[in-house]
Amino acid sequence: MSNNNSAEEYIATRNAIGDELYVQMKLNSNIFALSADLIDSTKLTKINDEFSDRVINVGVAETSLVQIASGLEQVGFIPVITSFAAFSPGRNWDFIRTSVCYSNRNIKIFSTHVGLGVGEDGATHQAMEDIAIMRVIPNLVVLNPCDYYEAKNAIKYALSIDSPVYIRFTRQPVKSYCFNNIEFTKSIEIKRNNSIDKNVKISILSTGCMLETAEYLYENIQKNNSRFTCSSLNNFGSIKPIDEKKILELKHESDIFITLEDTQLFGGFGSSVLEVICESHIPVIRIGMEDSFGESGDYLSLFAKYRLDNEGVLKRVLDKLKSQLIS
Amino acid sequence: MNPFNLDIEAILHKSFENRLLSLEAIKNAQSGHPGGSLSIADIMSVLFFSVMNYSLSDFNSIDKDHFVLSNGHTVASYYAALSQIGLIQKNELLNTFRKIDSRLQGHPHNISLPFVEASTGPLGQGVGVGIGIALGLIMRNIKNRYVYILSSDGEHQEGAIWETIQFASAKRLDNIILVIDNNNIEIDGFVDDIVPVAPLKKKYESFGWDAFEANGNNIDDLIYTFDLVKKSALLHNGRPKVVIAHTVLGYGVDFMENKYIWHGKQLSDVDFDLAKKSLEEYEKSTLNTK
Repeated sequence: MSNNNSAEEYIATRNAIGDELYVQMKLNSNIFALSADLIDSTKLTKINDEFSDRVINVGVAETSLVQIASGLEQVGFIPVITSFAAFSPGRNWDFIRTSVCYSNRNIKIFSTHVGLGVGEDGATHQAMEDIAIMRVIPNLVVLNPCDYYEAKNAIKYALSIDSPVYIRFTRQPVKSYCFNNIEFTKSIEIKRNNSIDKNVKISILSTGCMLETAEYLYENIQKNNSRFTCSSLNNFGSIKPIDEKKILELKHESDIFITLEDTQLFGGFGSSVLEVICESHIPVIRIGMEDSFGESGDYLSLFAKYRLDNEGVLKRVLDKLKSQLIS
Repeated sequence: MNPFNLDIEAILHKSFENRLLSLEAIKNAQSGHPGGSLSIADIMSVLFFSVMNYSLSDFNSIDKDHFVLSNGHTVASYYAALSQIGLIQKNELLNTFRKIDSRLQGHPHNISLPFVEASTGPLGQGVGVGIGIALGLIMRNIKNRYVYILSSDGEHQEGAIWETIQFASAKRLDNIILVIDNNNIEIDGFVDDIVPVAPLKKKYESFGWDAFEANGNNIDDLIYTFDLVKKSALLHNGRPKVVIAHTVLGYGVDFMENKYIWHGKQLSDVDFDLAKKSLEEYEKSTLNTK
């Protein structure tokens, strides 16, 4: 898929909450938005102005957020709980496990401020473990949209299914790739190269805000090492269920996988890909946070320091490609 | 309207039967929590046979009084009450509780058993879910229906409870009737010795609730107190209600009473026979004093 918008369009994916949830709440009076004292930061301001009777602010109380939502769902409402991912699911995970997922409640968990992109607030507020702790819970759908438009489509999809859903949104602006108002799919092939050269073929699998860097890799690996050709660039908006069919197709046509995410490698998206292909012999280079916390700083500097920016990721990948393990 | 509306003597008999069913189910499962199940049996019997308004033919309706068991480990008494009102079979309780493929999970599960309104067990969650239901009833404009939530004093060591306690008064949810099984016992010993939660009445009042106290093992006193609570609720003063029900863990079985080892201890056949005998004597002596 090529960019539908201006090549330079960058929008924080959290903005999709303010726009698409607003539309959905207008269409369905059963939808409630719950906040834990973060209405503006999670982009509920307009929703709160217009549907104040359907916005419940529980105060700084993330376990309460889940408990109250669970009770509301019991009498037929569709609660959407919003907070920063460091606190929800960071603090209220056990409540989500029991009162949302074990109870199979039609509750949506929208969490902003994921990953290093939080920036200056530092490691305490940079949720990088959320994919790992959420994807292990049965009944829960886990989505990680790559841009504003996929985030809107993900919100629409989440509210169309009778299931608990977790969606993670960025604070920082990210480059737009997807189309507005199309059906959300588990994965999207962004670019493909059908060249028939005899090079080692690489498939790039990205999730969330790393797509722009994944695109940079796609365009630059071959320029730096002519032994390799990137055969496809793929975005995985759904972590769970993961698009197993697509991963197995890619495995069939590739010699190497590269996965990208802005979360911890242990238990993250790359681990999900490994779980799908664990019985095959394809090498996988996983790019993400390498078992460390973040720190304060502007988000671009942080991505650079933790080698999650374009140049850092390219270097990590090229180093690994050169290593004996891969060659 | 309560579908049974039993008199005090009949409720007393139900509470005896509830205890016996709980203990037999726990004995058969060789797993469960006898102590708390016995201490709440009178509260459960009063709620299900007199106080709560519901219809057996439309038990899953929203427009009724709701019930959430927040201290989910005492579920044997809840299942016993559900079997007594006819929603599950007694055989199912006695033969499948806590066993493989059973609807009667070791802690309440709303999916396994649709009559259950909240999955509980990890302490400090059910109270908030009940409060959420109460908010939902108001949002649905359902009036004069109450959400009865049963919690325990030990559960009040969980900080999460207090988040929702202050939420309930902030949102003026005066359709909540929370009952606290106050038996002063938790797994490791006496609540007062570990981390005291007292004075609960003062704490609740300071959180903007109307607080009542009752002898939670006395049917007359429970009925009298719930009557007071309901009358108070009709005033719609915006204050949620709490009944601190003073109980004895293991009540009705002499060798279990106030012994914290019986929080989660299994019963042997001999234990069960002795407990049954003790319960029969307890019922006889209680009825004789009527």
